[in-house]
Amino acid sequence: MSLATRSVCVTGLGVVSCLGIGVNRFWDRVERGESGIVEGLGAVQLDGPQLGSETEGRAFEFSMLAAKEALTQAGLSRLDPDDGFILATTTGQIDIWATEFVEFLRQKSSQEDLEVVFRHQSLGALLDTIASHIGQPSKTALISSACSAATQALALGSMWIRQGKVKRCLVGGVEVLSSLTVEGFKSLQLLSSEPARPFDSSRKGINLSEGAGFLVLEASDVVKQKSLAIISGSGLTTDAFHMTGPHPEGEGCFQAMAQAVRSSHLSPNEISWVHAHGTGSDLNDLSEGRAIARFFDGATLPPVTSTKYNHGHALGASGTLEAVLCVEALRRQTVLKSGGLEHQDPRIPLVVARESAPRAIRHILKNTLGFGGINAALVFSQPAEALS
Amino acid sequence: MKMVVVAAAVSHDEDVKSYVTQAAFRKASRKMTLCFDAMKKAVSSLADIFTPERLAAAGLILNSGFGEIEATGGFLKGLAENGVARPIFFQNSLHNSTTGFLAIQYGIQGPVFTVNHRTRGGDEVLDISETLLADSLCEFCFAVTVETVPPEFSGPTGVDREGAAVLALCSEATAAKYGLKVLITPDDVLKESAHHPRIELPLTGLKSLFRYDLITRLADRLT
Repeated sequence: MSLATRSVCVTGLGVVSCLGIGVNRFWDRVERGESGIVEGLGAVQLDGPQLGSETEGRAFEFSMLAAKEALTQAGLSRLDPDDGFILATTTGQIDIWATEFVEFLRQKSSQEDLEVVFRHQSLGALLDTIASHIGQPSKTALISSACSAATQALALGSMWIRQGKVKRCLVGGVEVLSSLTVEGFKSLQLLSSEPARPFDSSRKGINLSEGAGFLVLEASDVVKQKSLAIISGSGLTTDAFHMTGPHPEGEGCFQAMAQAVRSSHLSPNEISWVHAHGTGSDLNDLSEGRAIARFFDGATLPPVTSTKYNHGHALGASGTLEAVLCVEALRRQTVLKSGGLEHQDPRIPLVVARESAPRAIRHILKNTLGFGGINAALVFSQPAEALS
Repeated sequence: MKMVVVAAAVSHDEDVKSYVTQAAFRKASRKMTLCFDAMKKAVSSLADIFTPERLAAAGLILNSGFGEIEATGGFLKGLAENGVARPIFFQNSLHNSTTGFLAIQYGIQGPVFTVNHRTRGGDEVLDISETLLADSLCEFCFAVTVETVPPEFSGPTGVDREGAAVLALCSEATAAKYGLKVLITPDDVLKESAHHPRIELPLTGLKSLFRYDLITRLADRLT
């Protein structure tokens, strides 16, 4: 098979989220419309370290659990030297070193103690630790592009495979709740104390959450197990507009969707479902909603869903957590409802999915927007579609 | 696709002192200012090529071993000592805040990535740049490395120099199309990488990224 005809297959999925551990549990609870948000946050419930790694912390635990589930489903036990591994996160293992740093500031901890835990500060340290437990991937990247990081990572992994740089690539996103993000988003007045209500006229903000989503991507010529889905296109753009706010008309988001659908050799009419970023913040939903409506102007508007009500916003991990839902939706031929929606914001002219229901899904458009104006979009397709 | 370097620049502390008084940089971190200055030098060295339209279509990939540690430290310090979470520190603590700032300043609307992988970051930035150029997602891509570390972290990080380095990259075909002088070839990049093995510090597993980072070494040599 030539590189030109090589498809990027998704062959394994793994999840740790505030809705539980494992892909099936994650899907079932989202499909039932349950929310894992408690007092405004989506915390993962782990009964102590699962892997006997007290010194590595929660981000490592989440990552290893999700990575193992994904690799097992793909029929792999470890990554080979000619495989790739991309990790996306915004804060990595901040829960380990930030506490020690604060103690150091309060003169309750020594410089030596700080230096011992400080090896966890660089985000790449987490990637290196995970990599050492899952094989010897020679090609790696640590992406920290805020909320778009994991979607960017999936796009990059897809390009590596299509360009023949690797045959398979494990792509993961991971995030832990920390005082930096919780207090930081609070300072920006973006947090909601109740489960988020994306696209609702009474939406009050976002729910920070934690977790990990991992996907195994493989070139179509090396797939051993059944391909669950194809990543058939990607779009990567930047607003260049504001440090924390999206472009009011969603210009960059629109361009990312256009790029993703164009690179899939599809038209907007062929998109069956849009899985939106839909954080539940006033500006994000308005900007993204306008961009989606404009993108499908003149085409059949597909149903649009945000699942942030269910699992919250896991920042750097949100792209892969939601990608798992997209792949499962293709496999199960089911559209998920957009939780928390009562009265749709009249300024957002979308067909928001109000119930989870069976539906013929051929291609899904997945959106992500992030601080810094970073936009990323992916198209997930049924395997038969892309292969034929 | 062969990726080549067509412009390079570095910026150090003494280059950015004048920025402190400028309103546009009032809320900018030192990383942002250093990168802005290095980018300015690289862009102005090919001013007729880097028109606003071409900059809008360009890519930007930034590496920093320790990310926005300065703002993160400031945020945590304020929270611990005064119970005050300052929004500007939080905003700047996100590791992609410098790329967001640069994208706004230079009107870059193409693919923008942020990478934080200790000693591997520079190599990863060059690889991502090559990947994006090969996929025709951008015609030009700016590869940036920056490091600034406040005094309280200089021990743990092992960073003893600060600054920013920028390489402007494109395909060999693009350089020929615009008649651009190629400053360094892909083979030279590989040789540079092979001749500088990474050496880790024994205590922390970290080392001075700015001194050894591949982008910085290349930019240092070319400027």
